[in-house]
Amino acid sequence: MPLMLLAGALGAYSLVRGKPKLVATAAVGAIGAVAIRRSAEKAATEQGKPDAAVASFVIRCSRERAYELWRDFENLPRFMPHLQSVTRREHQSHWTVAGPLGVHLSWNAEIVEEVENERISWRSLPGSLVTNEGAIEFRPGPHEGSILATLRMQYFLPGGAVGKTFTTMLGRNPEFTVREDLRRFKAFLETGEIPTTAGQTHGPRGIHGHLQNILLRETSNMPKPQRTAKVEPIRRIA
Amino acid sequence: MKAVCWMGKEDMQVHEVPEPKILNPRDAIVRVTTTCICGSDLHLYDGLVPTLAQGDILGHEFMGEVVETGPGVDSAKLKTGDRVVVPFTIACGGCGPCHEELWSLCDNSNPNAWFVEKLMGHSPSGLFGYTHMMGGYAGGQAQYVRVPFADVGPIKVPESLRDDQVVFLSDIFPTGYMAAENCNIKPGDTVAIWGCGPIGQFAIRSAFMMGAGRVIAIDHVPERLQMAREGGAETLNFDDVDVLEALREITGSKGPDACMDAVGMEASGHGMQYFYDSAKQKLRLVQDRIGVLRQCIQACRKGGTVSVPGVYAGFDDKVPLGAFMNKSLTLKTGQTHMMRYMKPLLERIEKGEIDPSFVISHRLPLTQAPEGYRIFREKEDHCTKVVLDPWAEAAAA
Repeated sequence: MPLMLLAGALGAYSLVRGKPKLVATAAVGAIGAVAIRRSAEKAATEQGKPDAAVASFVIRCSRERAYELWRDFENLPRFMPHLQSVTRREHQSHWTVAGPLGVHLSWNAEIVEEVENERISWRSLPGSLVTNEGAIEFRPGPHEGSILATLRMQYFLPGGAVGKTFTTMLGRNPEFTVREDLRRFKAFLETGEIPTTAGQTHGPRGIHGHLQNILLRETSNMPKPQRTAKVEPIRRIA
Repeated sequence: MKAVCWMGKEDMQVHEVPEPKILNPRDAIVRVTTTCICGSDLHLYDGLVPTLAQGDILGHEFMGEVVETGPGVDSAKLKTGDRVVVPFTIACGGCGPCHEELWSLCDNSNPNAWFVEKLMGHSPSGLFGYTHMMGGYAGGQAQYVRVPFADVGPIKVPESLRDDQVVFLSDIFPTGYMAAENCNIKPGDTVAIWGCGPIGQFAIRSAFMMGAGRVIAIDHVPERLQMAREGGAETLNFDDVDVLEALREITGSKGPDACMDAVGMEASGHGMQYFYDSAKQKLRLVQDRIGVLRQCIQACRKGGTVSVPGVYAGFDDKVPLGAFMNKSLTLKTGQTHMMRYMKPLLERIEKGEIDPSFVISHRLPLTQAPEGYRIFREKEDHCTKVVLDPWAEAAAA
């Protein structure tokens, strides 16, 4: 409640002083305060529903190649840039993500199901900080030489609704992340790299240019250039 | 290096900026020897296309010499020292659309695909020197440029041809050609082309190459109409005549077999309709002034084809869909599938069938690009096409 009052006061002040940026901050603050309250109430009564996200893409490659790339989990950070690293030993894997504000989170997961060239699913081990499940599936595509890849992820974000609002603001909303991860997987398979403009040259940005880059999420979502990647890119379709 | 930067509406500036670097394995760096200002750059200049950011380097028509290639570039297709023309659309060569030769619809070359998907349902390919929703790639109105997927797009050109003969393979010649192809021309057909800018000029000549019997070109800039007549077209000045009535008369009430809108979102015109479009565009209620598209649909013969190479950006209203449907028209459009046309058109240039340099009216050093944008927009000094030399002053010094 004090948070809401603070947000309200800030909102009123900034409206009077005509500061649109502050108005936005106050609005987010107010929503955040409501969310904290509701999430606390919810946590007291139930465990809540997980956030589920699903995305599908048609990819021009064989199921074998797609499966080969995915089953080696150590490849995943190539097209899931928010993952710091993944290591896999048989049915166990260890995942590390660079969370919001530079906080690193890690957890262990196990393979639930693995059908060669068709699907792999995994879930975090009980007691993990980030509770999640994932599954990738490769089916024959609409045309010869193409596949239909479907990625499903389910997770309980730390911080409930607040956490979700926060990750959305940082461009890491689950639906968005899953879709973009799979899009990058497709680009990597079809071209051997992931398109990017991060680090390209430009003229003086000024305040307006910088603001626009943030609004277009160019800073938070653009994959890093792969020239410095430790691993060689895989062979692309001729 | 020097680069032409968009700093705001009607504010182009030449700045010293860092040279481009190889970012991805299949990138190349091209030292630009000739670059141009395109009519579609003027839509950016006028601030009409959203998601351009201050400091963006423009330019999508350029050619030059390859000075560096990434480790993933197929050296059989491209290597350091090659003299190349670079197409304005960026294509990966590996996705579904690329395999169907729909190069301007490449799935992978736009890193901001998610953004344009929200607006258009799907994302077309990335473009050089255009808006961020089209990828935000730094453009070629600069001394050097980074070219992604460099072993797919750029085409090698022989030393025997001058820069100004081949540079238009980067956009306007193939674009005019595809626009004519989209007219579905049968021998003897009458084709009406709105807009006698560079695209219109190439479309006029391409339409005759495809067997058109008559081409009627519509504009109001005297030197452009003159250039159209030199290409064999009959001309109509829309300041002097009612275009729809004139076309009806010329074609014996049948209407042109194909109508081409080589104007796009900033159509000029007269009367209430033009006033309405301009007011809505100024208020940002619509992105486009679609006066020419309306005329195309209205004028086209029953069962004919409307081809739209002109650029449109948004959601527009007062489209005569009733006429479109009841007259059984076909609409064909799209950014140019460049790699389909570059090689065959280069061959035509080599054979001497066409010398594309006829459209050039101004040759300026890159440092005078801001002035070039202004005169091109204002159509001052008989300006039809501005070609820029990035090294002119360096060479003089």
